[in-house]
Amino acid sequence: MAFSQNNQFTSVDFRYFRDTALTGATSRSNVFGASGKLYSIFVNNTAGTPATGYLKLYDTNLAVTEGTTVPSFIFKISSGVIENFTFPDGLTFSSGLGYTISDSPGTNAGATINAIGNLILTFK
Amino acid sequence: MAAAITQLVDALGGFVLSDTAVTNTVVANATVGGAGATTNIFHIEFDNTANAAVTYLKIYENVNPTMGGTAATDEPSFVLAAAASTKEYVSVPSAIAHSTGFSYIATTTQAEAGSPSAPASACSLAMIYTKA
Repeated sequence: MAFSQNNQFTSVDFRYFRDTALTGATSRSNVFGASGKLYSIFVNNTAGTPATGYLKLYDTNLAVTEGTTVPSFIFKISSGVIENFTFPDGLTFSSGLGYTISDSPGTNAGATINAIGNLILTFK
Repeated sequence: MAAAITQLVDALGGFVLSDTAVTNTVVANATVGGAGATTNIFHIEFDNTANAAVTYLKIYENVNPTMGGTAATDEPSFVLAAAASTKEYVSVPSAIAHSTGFSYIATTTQAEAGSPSAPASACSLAMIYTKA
C-alpha cells in the first residue's frame, strides 16, 4: 500500500489557551467557558528576569479572587525553567477553569511576579 | 502502611515512593527523603478510587509543616484535586523542585486548615523523585 499523511487532524476537539502576559495582577476566570478536563500545562518561565511562581488553577465558572478563592490545583514553577505538566487521564474541572500566579504558595494572594513568557493549556 | 521507599538503579539516581495509606496525617520529609534534602519530583500517581468525594493531595516544601500555620512554608506548594472515584497522574519531565524536601497529606478539605478532614478511605500515592 502507499503511505499517506495528513498535516492536520480533521476532527480535533481539544482546545488550547495561550497566555503571554501572566503576572498574577489579574486573575483569569473561566477561560474555556465550560467544564472539562485539563490534559497539559506548558510554562516558559525563562523570559526577562524570571521569578519562582505558584500557578493556581480554580475549578469554578465564577470570577476568581486571588487570596479568597481556594485553588483546586497548585503547581510550583521555578524561576528560569520551562515546565511541562502532562495529565494522561485529565484533571477534572467540573465547573470551569480559572487561574492566576503569585509568588506565594497556598491560597494566599502574595505578590505578582515578572510576566512568564508563555502559558499554554490543553483542555477538552 | 507507612511510606515505603525503593531506590532505583544508580544510573537513574532516583527513588520510588509508595504509600498505600495516605490520609490527613502529615507524612513528614524525614520519612520520604531525609530532612532537608533537595528533591525533584518527576511523576505522581494519586489514587482516590476508594472515595466518593474529591480528595486533595497537598505537598509542602517543608520538612514538617504546621497545618493551618501562617508561614508561607506551611502553605502547600503543590495541590492536586482527585475527583471522586478517580486516579490522577501527573508527569513532569523537568521536575518540581523542592529545595528543602517535602511532606504531604491527603484531605477532603480544600482550604488550608488547622484540622484538615480525612478522606473516608485512605488514598494511595506513588511518586518518582530524586534527592540531593
